[in-house]
Parts: sequence; C-alpha cells; structure tokens
Amino acid sequence: MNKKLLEQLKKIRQDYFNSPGNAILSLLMLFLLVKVGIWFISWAFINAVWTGENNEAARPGGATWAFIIKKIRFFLFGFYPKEHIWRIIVTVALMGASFVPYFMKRIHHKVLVFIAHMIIWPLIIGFFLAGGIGLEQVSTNNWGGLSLTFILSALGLLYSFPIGILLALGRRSEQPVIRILSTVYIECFRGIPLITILFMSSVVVPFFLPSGVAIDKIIRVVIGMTFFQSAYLAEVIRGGLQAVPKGQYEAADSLGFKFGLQQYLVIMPQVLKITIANIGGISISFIKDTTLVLIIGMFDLLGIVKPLASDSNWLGMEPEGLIFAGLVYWGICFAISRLTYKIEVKANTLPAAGVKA
Amino acid sequence: MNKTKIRNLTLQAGLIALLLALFAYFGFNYIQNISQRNIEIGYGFMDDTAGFSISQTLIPYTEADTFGRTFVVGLLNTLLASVISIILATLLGFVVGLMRLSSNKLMSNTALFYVELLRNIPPLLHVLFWYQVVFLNVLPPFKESFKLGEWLYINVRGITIPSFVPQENAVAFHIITFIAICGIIYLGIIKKQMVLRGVHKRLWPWQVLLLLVPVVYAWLTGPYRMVLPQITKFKFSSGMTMRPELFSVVVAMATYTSTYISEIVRSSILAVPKGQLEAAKSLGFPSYRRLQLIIVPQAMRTMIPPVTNQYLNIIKNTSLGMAVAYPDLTAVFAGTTLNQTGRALEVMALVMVTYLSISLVTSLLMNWYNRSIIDRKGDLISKEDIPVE
Amino acid sequence: MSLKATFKLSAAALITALLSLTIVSCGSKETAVTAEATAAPAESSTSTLDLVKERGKLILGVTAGVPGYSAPDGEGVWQGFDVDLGRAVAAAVLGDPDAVECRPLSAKERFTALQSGEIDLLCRVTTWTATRDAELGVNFAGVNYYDGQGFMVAKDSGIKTLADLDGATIAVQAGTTTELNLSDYFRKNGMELELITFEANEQAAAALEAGRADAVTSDSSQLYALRTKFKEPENFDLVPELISKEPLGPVVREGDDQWLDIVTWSFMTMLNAEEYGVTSANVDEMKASSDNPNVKRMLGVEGGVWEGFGLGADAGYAIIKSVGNYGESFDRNLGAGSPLNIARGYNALWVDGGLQYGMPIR
Repeated sequence: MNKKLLEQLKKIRQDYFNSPGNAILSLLMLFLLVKVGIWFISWAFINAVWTGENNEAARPGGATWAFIIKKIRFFLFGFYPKEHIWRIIVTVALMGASFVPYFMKRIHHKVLVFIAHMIIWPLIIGFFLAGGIGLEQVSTNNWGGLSLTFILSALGLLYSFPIGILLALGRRSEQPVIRILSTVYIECFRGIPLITILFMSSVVVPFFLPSGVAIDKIIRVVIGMTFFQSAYLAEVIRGGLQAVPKGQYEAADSLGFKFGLQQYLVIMPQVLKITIANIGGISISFIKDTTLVLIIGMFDLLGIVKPLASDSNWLGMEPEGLIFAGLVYWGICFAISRLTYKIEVKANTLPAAGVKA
Repeated sequence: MNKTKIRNLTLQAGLIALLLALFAYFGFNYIQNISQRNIEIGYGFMDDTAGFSISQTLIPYTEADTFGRTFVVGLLNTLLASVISIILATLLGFVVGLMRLSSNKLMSNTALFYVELLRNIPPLLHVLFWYQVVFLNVLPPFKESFKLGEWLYINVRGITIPSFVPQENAVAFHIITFIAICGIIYLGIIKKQMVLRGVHKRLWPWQVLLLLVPVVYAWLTGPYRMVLPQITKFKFSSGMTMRPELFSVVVAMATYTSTYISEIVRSSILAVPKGQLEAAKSLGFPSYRRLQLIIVPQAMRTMIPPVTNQYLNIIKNTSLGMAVAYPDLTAVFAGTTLNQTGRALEVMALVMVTYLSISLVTSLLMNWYNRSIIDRKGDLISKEDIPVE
Repeated sequence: MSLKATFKLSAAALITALLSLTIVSCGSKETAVTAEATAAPAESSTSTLDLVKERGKLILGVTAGVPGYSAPDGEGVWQGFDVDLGRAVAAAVLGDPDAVECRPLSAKERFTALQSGEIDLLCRVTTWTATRDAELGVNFAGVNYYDGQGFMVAKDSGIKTLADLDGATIAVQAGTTTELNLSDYFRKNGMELELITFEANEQAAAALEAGRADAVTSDSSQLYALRTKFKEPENFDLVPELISKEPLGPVVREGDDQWLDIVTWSFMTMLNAEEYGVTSANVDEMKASSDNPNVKRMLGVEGGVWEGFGLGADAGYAIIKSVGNYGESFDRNLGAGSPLNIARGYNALWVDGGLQYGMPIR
C-alpha cells in the first residue's frame, strides 16, 4: 500500500517535477487551470439556472441553461411546424437506416448502395421534409437548427464524393483537355472563400437561369457547397492515388483489367484506405463550414441562436446559445474524428486489398 | 492505336463543346435577364462616387471617393487581418506544438486539451464568440474602461494604446536599425558556418553591440514621440485603437488555426530521424544549437507545405469577419458596393479573381521560401561541411 | 494505355455531364417539390398574374423579421403591416388572403429575388428612389408608409439633437439607402462620423445596446420596432429630427403593367375603404346597403372596375373583408393596437391632414 503510494509519488515527480524549470511551469500551469476551472464550474454548474420561464430567472455569474431547455425544439428543428416534426425524425431515421446495407455481407458492390443513396436521399428529403405530395408542404424557410446542419452536411458530402473522385482522376489524366479543366476547377474552388460561393449562389445564380425558373435557396446552397467541397476532396483522393505503388497499376494491367475495372477493383479500395484519416478530417471541415449559411440568412444550428436570443422573454441569452451550439459542434466533430480513427485502425489490421505481395 | 487517338480527340472536343454550350446557355440567360431589367453590364460603375463610409481604412477614404477605391480599402483590410492572424497563429502554433512535445505531462496535456477543444468548433463560432460574448457582453462600456495607467484602455469599443508619431530623424533611425539587424543576421550565419566547421569563437558580444547601436540612438535622439490616449466626448482623440471587429477576427483565426499549425509542428519535429539528434549530440553541440542546426531546419522542410495551406485558409477565413461587421473585401465590396450598384456578376467575379491572386501569390512566396531552404540546407551536414581531422 | 485514356476521358465527360445534370435536375426537382414556377418560359407572354393564379399562391418577399412590418408570430405565421398588403393582393387575385408564402430576404438579396422571379411581390420596407426605379429593373406600386431616417440613442448619453452626434460612432445596416443618407448628411454638415456596418439591423441595434456604438440609425419606424426587443427599452429614445424622406412601398418587376396595376389598386382600395368608413366588420352591410357610388364600385356592386384588371368582380370586397382597410391594418400592426405604438403622423389620410391619398376608384 505504502509502496504503491511511493511509486505514484515517484511517477508524479518524474512527470511533472523532473527539473526546477519544469516544477515552476507545472505549478504555474496548475494554478491557472485551477483558477479557470473553478470559475467555469461555478458559472456552468453551481450558479447555473436550469428552470425558468424567462430571463428574469437568470443569476449573475451563472449560466441560464433554462433558455436552452425551453428552446431545445428550435435548436433541433428550427421553425419547422410543431405538428410536423415527426417528419424530420422519420427523414433522419430513414437516412440512418439506409446505411444498413453497407454492413450486409451479401452485398458485394457497395458502390451500388452509394449510388442508391444519391438518388434516394433527395427523394426522402423532398417527400417528407418539403412535402407537397400527400403531405402538407413546408417551406424551406422554416427548415433550421441541427436538422438543417445535418441535411446540408449529408447532401454536400454525398455528392462531393463522386465529383471529387472524378476530378482527382481527371487531374491525373493523360488527356490535356481533361487534365487542364480538372486542375483549373480544383484550384479555382480552393482559392476562394466559401462565403463568396454562397454569395454567388444567392445573388448571381438566379441571373443564369431562364426567367421564371427559380431554384430553392437550399438547393442552391447544397450545389454551391458540393462544388466547393469536391475540389478539396479531389486533392485528398489525388494524394491517395499518388501513394498507391506503381506496381499495383502494372499488376492490374497485366491481369488485363480495363481502366474502370482497374480503378474500381484495385486502386480505389487502396486509395480510400490510405485516405481514411484525411477524408475524416475533411468531413469535419465540411460540417464546420455549414455554419457559413448564417451569413446568407439561413437558420442552421449556429444561425438560430440569434433569433432565439431576440425573443423578448429571453433577451441577452446569446452566450448560452453560442456555447451550447459550440458544444454540439464539438461533440459531432470529436465523435467523427474518433470514428475515423477506429475505422483506420480496423482497416490497417485487414490484409491489404488487391494483390498480396 | 490511331483509332483510339482519333476517339480521344473527338471525346475531348466533345467535352469542350459541351462546356462551351453550357457557358453559352448561361451567358444567354444572363444577358437576356439583364437586358430585360435595364441593368448595364461592365465595370463603368467603378468610377462612380461610392457615397458610403467605412469604419476602418488603411488609406485615406471619404464618402466622395469611388467604388473602385472601396475595393482597395476592403482588400487592404483583408490583408491586414490576414497578416496579423498569420503571425499570431504561427507563434501560438509553435508554442502549443512544442508544449505538446514537452516531457512535462501537465504541459503536454494542457496543449492537447487546447487543440482538441478549439479545432472541433467552427471558425465562425469562434469569431462570434469573441465579438458577441467577450466584447459586447463582458467588457465594460466606453466611459468605464478597464485602465492600465495612462497607457492601455480596454472597453467595448476596443483596445487603445498610445500611438507613436515619427519625428524628423525617424528615417535615420530606420536605416540604422535596418543595418544593425542585417549585421546581426550576418554574424549569425557566420557563426553557424563556424560551428559546422568545428571552429568555436565567440561572436555574440558583437551581436549585442550591434543591437545596442539603434537602442542608444533612439534613447539619445528620440525618433518617435509617444502620444497617450486622450478621451473626448465619443472616442479617443489620440492613441491607437484596435477595434473589436478586427480583434475578434484576428484572435479567432489565430487560436483556431494555431491548433492545426501546432499539430503540423509537432508531427514535423517527430518526423526528424532520431539518429540525427544523436549524431549531433555525439558531435558535442549544445542543446539549443541542436534545435537550431539539426531539428528546426529539417522539420521546416516537412512543415512548409501544410503550413502554407493553413495560411491560405486564414486568408480565406478572414471573410468570416463580415458576420461581425469587419469591413474586409467581402463585406465592403461584395457586400455594400454590390448592393449599391446591383452589379452582382461583375463584383463577384472581381472578388473571386482577387482571392485567387492572393492565394496564388502566397503559394508562390512560400514555395520560393521552401526551395531556398532546401537549396541551402538540403544536405545540411554535407561531407564538405564536416571537418575531417 | 489508350483504353485507359478513353476511360479517363469518359470519367471527365461524366463530371461535366453530372454537373450539368445536377443543375438541370435541381431545377426540375424544385418545380416538382414546391410546385413552383412551371418550366414555362416567362417571357413577357407569361404574366405574373397568370403565374400566381396557376400556382394558387402569392410569393411575397419580406424582411427577416421586423416587428410590426413582417415577422413570424408565436406560431411561425408571418404577420405585419407589409404582410397585410401581400394578403390583400392575394385576396384580390386568388380570393384567399392566406394563399401567401413569405420569403424572408436580406436587404441585399431583395431586388435580385424580385428580378429573378423568385418572388412575385416585394413588401420589405423598401424606399422608393429614382435610382432604383431606373437601374434595378423594378417598379414601385405606391407608398404604404411615409417614413424618415432617424437616430436612436441612449437617454443618458446626453445626445439631444443631431448636432450632438458630431464625432459619434454610429451603427447601420449594410446595403441600405440609410447608409448613404447618413454619410451625405454628416458630410454636408461638416460633422465627423465613425460608421460600423452590420449585416442586419438587429446587430446594429445590439451594438447600441452594448455600448459599442453611440447611436443606431435606420428608418424611424424600424427603430421603434427594434426598441421593443431591447432589455431596457425605456433607456433608449429617438432624436426628434429625421434626416431623409423614406417613402416605403411595394415593389414589382418592371415590364408587367397588369401586375403593377393590381398591386397599386389593391393598396388604393385599402386607402379608399378607410376614407369611406368601410371596415372588415361592416363591409357586408356596406355592400348591401351603401348608396355611395365610390363604395359600390370598390366593392364590385357596380362598374366592372376589377374585371378590367383581370380579377373577379369581388376583388375589392375580398380585400376589405379579409385584411380590412388601411387604418385597421395600421392600428393592428403599428399603431395603438400594437407594442410599437407609432402615431399616424404623415400616414394619416389626406382628409385628416396626412399624406395618404387614395386615388378615386371609378
């Protein structure tokens, strides 16, 4: 018992006080951490208010989480009509359920599942969320909150994948026209801020359409974000393509595989395996990027904080709203980074795809 | 072979034709839409009077200036925010990256916490947090500023410090300082060569002496006059104020991007082969020389391409400042000017081309720097450098 | 090798095909999903009236939420003075005041949305100016609110008149005529100004509330509306002077005179109704018994005025029945019956000494 304690003490000394300089740094750091920690805990928990009908419940020096609790419906579903919220839940559930085929051993060509997603998801969203056929129509203006963030990220990621792969292949093509066009596309979209693309989609794009034809703002935003994201994804995939050893191409060639088959059976599986971590990282960026839609007046999880905090019962609740939104984003992004890490570890323990050398 | 060649050519031609058709279609729609609405096409509006004012301008600007000038004002504000953010993010990123490598667990874990916490929160939320929570909610109002003597005022209107007005001999001071700095750097290079050749001779006293020259000159002649902030009715009539809008953007970008830079720094340093360090140790280099001569130059090489990407991200992300009324290129030109003139396509095209050029110039500069590093230090300790005894 | 190249080529061809397909299919998806804007080429041949009738719904461009003018209520239904005008047009055209879909637009987006046909009518506290009429390809259909640009300040700031604002920091919304008026006024009077430009009026007002700015400027009506959202509204007040004329009105696309007429006369009907004492409460009675020929023509009892616009004979009746007259709408949304409590002022009828003058219906 005593020995254990001594060992622990020794370890602490080794980790934190192994030199006088380190000891001072440790103490200073500890002091700062304790100070900030105490302040934060008293703000977020001890002095916090969890129940109340309006901002009179707020206490100085404490958070008013009652605001979040009262407004949670809006944080999750935006201004979607209350009696129709089940439609959002069904949509999300269906989209989640559509991942099941990926885990089914019987389906060998998972690409088909992916293509099915590209067709089915917009249909699900159109039928349930937008309504109009069988269900009452809900204007896209009322979409918002976390569900809007989810839809924008999901659709953006879904469509940027195939475009990104094609662009990456195009940039490595031997055909000058294809190579130049792909390169110009990738570099242009990577060189400008997303916000200017969103501006384009909300201010300029309507001019490019025949008069009388209007595209809903959400669709314009999804298209803009897809164009933007596919350029970044293309670079990640190109990196993966470059990392695949030349022997793999040659082996595939010698087996008589044509270009498409070669890519599908030999190269792409390896590319995806190599780039798992990068794809995870880029997905996180995309999700964080969806917040920019607030600048063009859409109420995603971050954008909805402002209107909710200007409710006359809950004035001045912006800090709580922003911190709550930050917490949710943090949770989502952190979860994805852990998930990618796990997938990566799992992928690396599997035998290499293609030919065993 | 010939057949496939022809097929390739036709396919490529088809692709071009398809693209041209698309462009033509959109162009046709655009011209039709525009002419139906009596909007003019072209950049003629750039010479018209803008008529609106801008809060932060680096060059003289009044409402009577042209829309063209608003473009320059916005561009300079974008560059200002970018440059400050890049410097801060680099410093912070290095500190955090080194902290993560510290043998002190408390340090490395704090750094890890910092990185994991901040990088998973959207940059726009960072910006809004600094502006709406810190500035508009926490800081005291203008008349009840937080004060540090007569020197520093912090309030909801920003951070105000004394300004320094250059005097007549400021030019001479600049020249002297420049020469002194060049001398110090030159001595440093010589010293490094000497170390690598195994010659040990003290040069630092000369460097200190060189440094003292401008300091003493400044002390004797006073090339700058310090002007303390003075409060008038509405604002500080003197002193320099960093506005909350700029502050929020810069701090948000610096903290957010520093998490990425710190990871790059950490992994690049870890990527330096251990043998290099051991070899340097066995050659008897002191620890700071090991860092300076062996670790940093090699880590630099792997560091520069990803860090360049982060710099480009910062430049693009400063456009988020428009959410907090920072008058950058996007807010001023793609915002107000577009709205006053209604020339959506012209304005957006110019803004995009500008961002592309900034990105391009930055990449070129960083590439050039990278190449110069590899050229000079590519084979860091080449055979000729190591003394044969 | 050449085969590989062919595949790469087809891959790249696919990119373009996909890009164009996404654009095209999204266009058609939209028409399917929201049953909006049938693909018919909207040259001058397809009138806005036909489009609205076919769609069965009027798409109205409004603010993102200015209390009193256009803002969603607790149920998420858009209400307000500007929305009422849209409802009046919908009542006249479709017979159903609820057949209105409100599209919240930022100041920046509003004209593009109208020009591109995304909305049919813009009622978004928009000032009628010559430049807009000349350059933006739009027409103004009347003035439903005579406004002027004012300044809101904190009561304890000691700012009592406009002259006190010399050197002040002023918050304003980006992309409005307000911004230009402000700069003009300060320049003309040799006053110094520091301007902070926000994306939304609420942000500008928040800057005043937090002390970041000394004053916020906007149309005075909007300042009243913004003040209702303050934590301590009693601590803020408007400087008495106004620096500009801001006639706010409904806007339509240029080149569709029929639609312009419909909007203009829907509004005129509301004005005339107030003048002749027709309200939503007594409109049935008036229709049956009034012997004022003006009222009879307005309510479609005689004359056939409305058919000339391509509307049903009872369009005028439908407006008054569902939305009420101008005075009713004003009181309900802006005046004594609302938290804003704005006096009629310039917006009183001409017979009461104001500027609102309904053109004769005959």
